[in-house]
Amino acid sequence: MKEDNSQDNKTTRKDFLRKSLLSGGVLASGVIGINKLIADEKDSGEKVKVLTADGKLVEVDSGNISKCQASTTTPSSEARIGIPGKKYVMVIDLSRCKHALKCQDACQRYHHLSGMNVWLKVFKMQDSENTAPYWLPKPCMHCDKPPCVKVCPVSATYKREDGIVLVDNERCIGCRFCMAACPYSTRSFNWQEPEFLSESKGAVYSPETGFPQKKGTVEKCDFCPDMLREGKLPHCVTACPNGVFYMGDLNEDTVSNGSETVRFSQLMNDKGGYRLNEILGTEPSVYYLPPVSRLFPFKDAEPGKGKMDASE
Amino acid sequence: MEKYKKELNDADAIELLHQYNEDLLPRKFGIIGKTWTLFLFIGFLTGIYCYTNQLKQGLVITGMRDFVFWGIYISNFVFFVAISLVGSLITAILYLLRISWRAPITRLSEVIAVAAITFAGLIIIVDMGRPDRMVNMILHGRIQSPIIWDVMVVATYMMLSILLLYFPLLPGIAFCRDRLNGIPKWQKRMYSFLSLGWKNSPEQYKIVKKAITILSITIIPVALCIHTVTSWLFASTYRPGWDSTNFGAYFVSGAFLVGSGGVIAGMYLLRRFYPAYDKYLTDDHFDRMAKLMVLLAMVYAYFSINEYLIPAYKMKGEDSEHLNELFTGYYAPMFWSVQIFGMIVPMIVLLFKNGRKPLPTFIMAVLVIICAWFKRYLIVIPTMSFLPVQEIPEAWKHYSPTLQEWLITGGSLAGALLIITLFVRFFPIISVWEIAEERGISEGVIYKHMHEGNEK
Amino acid sequence: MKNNLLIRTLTGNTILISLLVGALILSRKEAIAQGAKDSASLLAGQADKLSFTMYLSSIVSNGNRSVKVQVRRKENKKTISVVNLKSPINLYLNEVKENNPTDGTGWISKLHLNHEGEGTFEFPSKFNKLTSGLHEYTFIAKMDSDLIYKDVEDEITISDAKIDIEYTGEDSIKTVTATLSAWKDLAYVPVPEIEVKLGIKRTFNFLPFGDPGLSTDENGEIFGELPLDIPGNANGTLTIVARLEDDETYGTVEATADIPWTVLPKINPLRGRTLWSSGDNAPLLLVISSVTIIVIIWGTIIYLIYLLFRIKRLSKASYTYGQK
Repeated sequence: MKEDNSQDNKTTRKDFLRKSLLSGGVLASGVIGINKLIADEKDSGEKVKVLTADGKLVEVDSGNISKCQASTTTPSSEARIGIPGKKYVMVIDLSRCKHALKCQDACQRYHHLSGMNVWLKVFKMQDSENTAPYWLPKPCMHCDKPPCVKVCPVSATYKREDGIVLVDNERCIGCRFCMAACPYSTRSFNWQEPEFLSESKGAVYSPETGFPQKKGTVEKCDFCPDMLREGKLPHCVTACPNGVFYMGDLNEDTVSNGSETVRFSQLMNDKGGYRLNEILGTEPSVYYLPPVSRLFPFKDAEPGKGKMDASE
Repeated sequence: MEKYKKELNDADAIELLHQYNEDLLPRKFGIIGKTWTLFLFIGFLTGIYCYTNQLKQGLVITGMRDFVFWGIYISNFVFFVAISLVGSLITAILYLLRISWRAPITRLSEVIAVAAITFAGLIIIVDMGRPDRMVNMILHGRIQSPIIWDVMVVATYMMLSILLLYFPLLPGIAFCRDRLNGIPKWQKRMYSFLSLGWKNSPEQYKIVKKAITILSITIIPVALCIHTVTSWLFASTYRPGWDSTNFGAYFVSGAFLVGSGGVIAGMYLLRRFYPAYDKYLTDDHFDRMAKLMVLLAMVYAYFSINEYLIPAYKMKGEDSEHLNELFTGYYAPMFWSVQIFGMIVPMIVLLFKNGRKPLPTFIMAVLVIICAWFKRYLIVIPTMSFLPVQEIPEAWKHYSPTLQEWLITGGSLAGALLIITLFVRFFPIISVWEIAEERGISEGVIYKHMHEGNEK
Repeated sequence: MKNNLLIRTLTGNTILISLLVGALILSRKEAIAQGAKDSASLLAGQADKLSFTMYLSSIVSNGNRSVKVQVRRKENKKTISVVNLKSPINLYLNEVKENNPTDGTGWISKLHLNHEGEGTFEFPSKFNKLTSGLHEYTFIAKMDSDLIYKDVEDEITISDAKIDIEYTGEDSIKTVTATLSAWKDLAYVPVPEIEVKLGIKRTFNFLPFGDPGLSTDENGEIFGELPLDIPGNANGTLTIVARLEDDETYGTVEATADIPWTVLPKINPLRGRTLWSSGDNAPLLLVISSVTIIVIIWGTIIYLIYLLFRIKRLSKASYTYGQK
């Protein structure tokens, strides 16, 4: 701890500690508590004051505080504007999806989703008896003309300059009109007080993480703007074993699925990319590559595999 | 209307006025009235109690889930908005058309309107996930959102309805203030406060009449807006069954139908419990209201055909799922019941002269009201139930309201009826001075007579 | 103290798991694990130490050297990155010994794995000066401060190498040349037949250009033709990356260069007065028409309320019937 903060003055270190304790749980692993316990570091003798999750100020030995990354919580006002100069797009290659659901697992885990709220769903699509079935992962489309944003009475859901549609669950009044308006049915509602892992309690809310969720508000896929801010790919993209998801900046004409980085325009051209329900005029930011020359033969899902099947 | 307008000499006129006042002053409830009020009160309190549960636990206590995310709160809201439209129909439209038999039913229809719009506003708050953040509508309101339009238009309509109830009521309140003896002090004080010191001067009557004219003109567009905007909450989405350009007119026509049903039911019940009222709410009134209802049912049938048959002719992919469920599927029994009993049967029965007698008219009106409630259910819920959905628990695909949800909704209906009941208990539900005017008694005599009430 | 803090900050399941783990630890005095999952498996009787494998890698980016350490372990035949490891990893240069302040060899730094399971040490410039005589480095990472895992270590030996980027731009053809050279005896000499990747730096990763899989020629050079229509950075440049990835001798060597570029990104921030903007940015026509309607209707309502006041005032005026 000493070494990590040796350049910081005392106030910023305190701030850092407070933030660590308050919001450290938001971060990927969320295991501070355990680490602290099983650490074999000796007490350093130095006492520091920290604010615990339940708002109490306690004095602890600095050796007891686990190192964790400082919070990247973006305040609501900033989260409304977006990341300057970017226009995020996602490409989903349907020919590669085999319903592994790693994307969904990662999404649920990193967003601390509890209960029945699933942001990223993977549907079996079969348009008619004579057409072939395929899997379709469906995140939020982050439409450029978003019908959900149009109808929101309080600007709780909004379109950012970088193309992302977010929900501010500190402003949402829970009217659910956005759910009615969304033609892709991507939104979920917190019908009850959401359940969290205990170490997540007291985390600082930002619309960019959507966490902690709140009772009586709407939530949905957010393109992981906290990751994008760090220049990292969203969790579903990195979790997919088959490289189904590409994410990139339209201004740079480049998308990446982690292992491959390609020109967006060329990918669209070569593989015949399209968007869902173009006829509605919503102009989604998510593009699909058709399920042709598929990598995997279609197999029906094992029962109980999906996040939601499991709890039926 | 000749039979109402007799040439009267002043003495006869005063006699008649005495008679009116004698008949129409509000009076204490009997045992039935008290039981009814208590019943409504308990129903309303039960609703409030369940709502506190909902505040604690969240909307999880309802049958709504992510796929059917609007339930009977919303369909009940639409019902309330619909029935409140009657205030403007009877009061404003009939007034502006100088229809001479309207006087005895205007106040009844206005009270129904005020009660319904009040609870429309309340039930929509009940549906909100975060009612504690209502102030956000003002702090961060977006004029682009139909919900904001709805909030504004409901507030405006409520204000106009209250004013339209209040202005013509002033002489009545003053009369109660002066004539009702042996009433508790608070009641006297209430009359005194609400009457604004009314003293029946011709100037005051002139202002009241001017206000009624202004209100009648203003309230008609607002009333049309209130139900049209409510329909836009649905029509502004992409969902099959809601995505319709016909929706505004369809909702407004349905609202007129159920509203007239509400007035007929009210008329009948008043006559039933206040025998003296049949001099004012005559068989002729039932006859006329029944004819109006036939017309309104026909208009509604016209828009219903537009709404269902044309999409059914095309049977677009998504529409067909929805329509098949309505026509032959899960919702078919309810769908055909409301179409037949809520529209076609009343239309036919009321075409016959004997059908327009008070009792059959009342029965038809009650049918129309009940079917109208379930019609709103059918407009709101099935559209969400039959989207092609996967990966969700089976229970989410079908919506059935929970007991608490029913109790809250029932509480709102009880609350609206309670407002009407209490109004009947404390205020003249039929306006003496308007009836007198309608029946050809000269203004001077009316004002003087009402004024003399003051002196006593 | 530990337990106090624990009870205050943790609740629910974690308390239970933590206390159990805590008890285990108190009896064992030392342990290492990552997160609740590992704790659970420790409890399940697999209290033997987990088998850790350490990976060291060296990165030289534009002459700045850094060393990255990762620890992995196997679970159910899957390799998992160990994250947030509590015990620090010691990094040594050339030999495992105390730091030698004159030539910088020996102990360099303590590394902690972050939440992504990586610990990185970036060499400060004064350190570069100190080791300027060295052109071959042996890095040793050891968890020697941990009693159980003191044997976990990795060692790599890296030779000094660098990449230079050269750009020739004409209207019709724009070429990038990258030269890989390594220190040999007294000077940098070109290294042939090694695969060097050329790319354009983008938000995520870099976009490769030129023919894929090319190796350096006898002059240590590799050529790539840039796509002419690729949008550059907003400031009129394009960032080129040339990278030798995870080479056994040289580690990762990378160079970036900004070249002038005329194709600008079509940045079109979504602004303006639209139906999907904030309330402040509503379309003017909508604002004007709704304000007009509201003013008219509520103006009327206010007038009507004024009429009520007039009625009240008239009540106070004395008026007697029969005077008319």
